[in-house]
Parts: sequence; structure tokens; C-alpha cells
Amino acid sequence: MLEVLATSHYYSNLAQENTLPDIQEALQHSCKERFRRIDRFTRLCLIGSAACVNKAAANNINLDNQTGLYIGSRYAALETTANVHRQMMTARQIPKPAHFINTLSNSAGYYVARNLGLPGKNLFISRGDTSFEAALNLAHLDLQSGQINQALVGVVEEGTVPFAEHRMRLGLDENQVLAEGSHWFLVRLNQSPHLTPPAANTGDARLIATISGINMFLQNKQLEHWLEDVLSAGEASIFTSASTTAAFAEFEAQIKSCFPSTMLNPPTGLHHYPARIAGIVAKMLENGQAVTTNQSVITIQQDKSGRFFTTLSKPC
Amino acid sequence: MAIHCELHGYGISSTLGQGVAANLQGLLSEKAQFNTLEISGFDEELHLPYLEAKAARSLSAGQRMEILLDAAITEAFTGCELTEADKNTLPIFIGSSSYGTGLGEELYRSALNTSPQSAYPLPLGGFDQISSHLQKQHRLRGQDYAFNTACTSSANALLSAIQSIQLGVSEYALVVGIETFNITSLTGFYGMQLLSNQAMSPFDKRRNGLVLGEGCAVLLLKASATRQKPLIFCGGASGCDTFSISASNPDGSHIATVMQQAMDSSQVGTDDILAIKAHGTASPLNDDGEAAAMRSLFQTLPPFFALKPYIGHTLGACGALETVLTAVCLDQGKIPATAGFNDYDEKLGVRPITATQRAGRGYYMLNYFGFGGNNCSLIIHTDSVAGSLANA
Repeated sequence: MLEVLATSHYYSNLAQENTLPDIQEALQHSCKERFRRIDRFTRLCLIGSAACVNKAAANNINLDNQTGLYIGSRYAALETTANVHRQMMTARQIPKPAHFINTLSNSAGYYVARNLGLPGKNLFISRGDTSFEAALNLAHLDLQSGQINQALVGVVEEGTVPFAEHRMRLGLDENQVLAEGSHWFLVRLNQSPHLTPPAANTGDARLIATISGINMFLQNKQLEHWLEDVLSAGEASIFTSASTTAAFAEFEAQIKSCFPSTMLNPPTGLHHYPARIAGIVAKMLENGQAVTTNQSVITIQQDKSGRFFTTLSKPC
Repeated sequence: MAIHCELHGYGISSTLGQGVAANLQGLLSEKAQFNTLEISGFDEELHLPYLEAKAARSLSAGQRMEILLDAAITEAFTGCELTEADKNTLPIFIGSSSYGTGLGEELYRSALNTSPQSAYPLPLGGFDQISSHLQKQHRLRGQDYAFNTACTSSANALLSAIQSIQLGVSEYALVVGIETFNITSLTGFYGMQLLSNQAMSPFDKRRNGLVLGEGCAVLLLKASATRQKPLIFCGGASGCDTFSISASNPDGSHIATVMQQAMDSSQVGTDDILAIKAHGTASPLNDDGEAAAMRSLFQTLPPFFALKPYIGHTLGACGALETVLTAVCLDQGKIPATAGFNDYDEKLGVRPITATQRAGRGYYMLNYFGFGGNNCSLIIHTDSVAGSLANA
């Protein structure tokens, strides 16, 4: 079980076609030094991570050398890499060094580490739309091993112009509104596992929530049994996601029929983007309070090979 | 009771050939490899150094990935009794720099030729090409993690896999390191003026850069309460040096810290390390920093060697490939020579071994460093007598 000490939630609907929000001012407020030639993906990482760390600091929680950094994303620096390919194949140009470096997924992690003073573990992880769950699992491993004592986990997906191309990549309808987001969680291992729920105040740190149930199930029955166990302990909202619209509809119908009284996919205002599930959890926990009156938040994603990935967040 | 993380099976494919035997033969030849490829499609004529995997030559991007992966997995699983339940649950830790980049390039180029109005770059789902193939072709459906931390990708993947085993999270763990040819990486390094015009010569006074390479290695790790296999993974460490985006501090300080942390995690000291597998990219900044770190940490520097002259710098896959190659040599009771090294550089103050040596039983350190300051060090222990590590 992970304890959440701070979260941050940057999200933007990309309603105006081929227009990305200006994040320059937010970036300037987030960075201790001026980083040159960084791309939008790195900027979103810097903004989100700094916001999370600032919230933690307001709660007397500071980062140290043993804080690990984990960035999860389906596409990472997509626009940079796409532009490099355009330049190579249509303009016949060799990639410029700064652009090539920015195609590397861990460049963003370098800048975040430099901005926050983190010399320790620094990973970039991808597992499609379940990169959130993957990053949490790896952070959990390192926390359990004692290599780190805190983990700053970010899930970031940038908006990419032109939007029509990205809708095709994501398999979306041509009118579907896109989104981008940068969602961050500062977590540590449950300090008092014998207390259920954990004490909301442990020392100087005020807990926001716990995250557990970071599971993978191959079969429907396994998922149902887990849901039965979780829901028997208290009410929850369930948020689901699947790789296609048809799979999503089938999945939603299945959950509804098994658990008819559970709140399923209440409106969140978040449009479709690969980090949507991380965005929902971050939004539910933002400002230190769960929006839905202290209900637990269950997320379930089904990937294109039919595997289910879950998380369970309980506000403190 | 402590859980041993054993190297249970492995497979490899590189420019030296397909399989352990071919790669071992290449290492023991003590000959550095060099080749160039003609790269078309740019305004300038390019003949760039590159070591293709032997099995992948002339294949398309998708075919290369599958051929290399299938061969390495088949070899790694030979003699290992994995049930369907094992295959459904064992976690898979993948490290690569390229992932689907080559495939994305081909698809985009093809679309530009056939339907330019609708062509768009990177028509891919993300970094999932390898995991998708593993699920479909090999029915490996456990939780997969695609690491992308430049040249430490599969080293970091291996470190997480080791932890998964040591913490009792899983009985088995699969580590895949793969790097396939793509124009982006090759021309990117060319644009940064990091490529050599001759075979690699790490730590040599006349070293002048990299030769990129292609390859795949697969490691099957297994938990064991009582040590069954001669080679175990003891621990490791990984961190980020924020000195510069393109290289670690040439004073070696962060690299030394990570190496020390790796030894601490494995409860060994510098006196216990019998030899070091260096990262050794033959680039000025890496070799400087790595040499400085080794000098600062070890009062008496043990023998060290570099493997990139044989297989090229396989970028994100080098963690897996070079770990397998080291294991293969140790199994034969040998430490490989560093091909390509001729002239001592007094500024570096270190000299790799230049002849194959006898390997003893004990601890070995394996180092991997990358862009973005990502540094990783692993510690292994071998009880091997010659030939005992080989798959049944």
C-alpha cells in the first residue's frame, strides 16, 4: 500500500483545433533555472512535478536524496520525435542535436531531477494507457527494497499538433476532443500497516490518501472477486477505460450487471487521452480531499489484449 | 531466508551471430568489429558505422524485431520448464532505446510514397511493439514494463527484475534488451559527432567515438532458496547525474556514488570485486568520467574490460546484451579482452585488459551509463566452473 503525501493535477481540454494552451508562465513559476531548448513534454513534466513538490512543502514534506522519480507515459515526447521524422523524410535533414536529445524519453526526467535536486533513481516507463499503474508498481518495488524512501510519480501526455494525426494514432473519431495532462503523486510506503485506515496524521505529514490494489487480472472472474472484496469494505466510485469504444461499452455493461448499485463512471470533465485514469485519480484527490464525499476511487482499465489493470485510492 | 536471484536461462543475437556459441567465439577472437552502412534520403551522402545483427541483415524493421526477439527467447527458454501459468504471470522488464522507431520510420516513408496527403509520422500505439509480440507469439501475458532511459534502459530493467525476485514478488522474471536499426538513432549520433570512423577503442589514447550496434538478449531470472545455478544477481543501484544532459560529470563523482551504492546493496566492498565490465563507449566524456570514478573508488583497480568493440554500442539493449556476454565468458572461466585498445592514455590513468584472462569465482561489477545522466551499476556473483552455466 502506498501513502499519498501530495498530488498535482494539470489538465487541459484541447477544444480549439490545433491550439495548445500557453504554459510558458506556469513553466517560469516552476523552474529554478531557465532551461533552454526543452520541448512541451518536458515542460509539462516540470510544471506538474514542481506543483506537487510545492504542495508537499506546504505540508512540511521535503524531497531528499532518497526520493525516486518515475515518469510514465504512453507516448513521451511525441511531437518532438514526429517532427524529427518529418524533417528527416520530407526535408532530408539530419536531426539537430538538441532535437535528437529531446526524443529520448528520459530527457524530461533529467530536467525534473535537476530542477528538484534529485540525484537518485530516475526511470521512464511506458505501458500504453496503463503507464500510471506501471510507474506505481516500479516505485513500490523500489520503496520495498529500501533504495528510496519516497517516490515522485508522474504521468504525462502532451497534446500534439496536428490533432487530426493524433486522433488517428489514438483510434478516435475525427470530432473527439483531445486533452493533455500532467498528474503527479508523492508517495511512500504505508508507515503503519497495522492501522486500517492509516492515521491521517503521521508525524508532520498529513496524508491525502492511500493507493493500493495495483493489480493485473487476466480473467473476468478474478476481477469480479477483487471488486466484491473491495466493495464489501465500503462504497466506491468505479472509473473504467478500455482500448476501444466497443470494448469499453461491453466492459461497462459487465460491471453494471455485477455491481448495479455502485457509482460507475460519474462525470469527471476529462476527455480522452492516454493518461486519463491518472488524471481522474489526481482530480479526485486534489486539494487533499476526495471530490465524491470520501468515497474510495476504483480504476479499472482493460488493455487491447484483454488484461485488466486496477487501482484503489482511499481518501484519508 | 534470503532469496537468490539466479540467472536461469539466456539467449542472445548480435553482430557476432545468433546464439551463445557464436557470440562467445566472437569475444574470444579478441577482434574489434567495424562496418558501415550507406544511408540514403539525405542531402549529404552518408556512410555511417553500424554493426547490424547477423540474423537481421536486409530485413524490414518489423521483421528484424521479431527475428531477433524470437531467437533470443527460444534460446533462453531452452531447458527451462515454464508452465502456461508461469508464462501468464511472470513479469517482463523490457529495455530499449529504439522500440518501434524503425517501424515508425518505415510506415511513414511508405505512406509518404503511396498516400502523401494522409501520411503522418509515428503511426504507432506507443512503446508496446515488443510486449505485444511477446503476448501474441510467446503467450507471455504477465505485467510488462517498457523502460526507456537511453543507454541504461535494459540495465534498469534488469535491476527492477532482480528486485522483483529478491522481494518475493515473483518466482520468475524475464528481462529483454533489444535494439534494432533505425535512422533516427544513427543520424542523431552522427549529428552529435559521436560516431567513430574505425572500430571502437575504449579508454585508448586515440579513442574517437562510437559504433552503434544492433542486437537482442533475453535473461530469465528465477528465485531460489538454495542456490542451484552458478550465477546470481546480488544487487545494484541506479541514479541520475544532473551535471549535463549529454554526459555525467567527467570528475566521475556521481558514477562512483552509484558504483558504491551497488556494492552496498550487495554487501560487498571494493576488495571483493574481481573484475569490472566497463561501459566503455570510447567517447571522450564517458571514458573520462568512468575512469575517474574507477580510480577514485578502487585503491587497487581490478581488471576491467569493455565489450562494445565486439558488438557495437547497442544503446538501450546494452544492459542485457553485455550482461549475457559477461555471463557467457564467466561460465567458461574467462574474462574477455578489450579489443581495440592499443595506447595507454596517461590522462585517464587506467588500462583495460587486452588479453583474455582467467576468471575466478566471486563478485563482478557491471556498469552502464547513459544520456540524461542516467547511471546504473550491477553486482553479480559466480560460482561457475567452465561450462556449468550453459542451458541444458
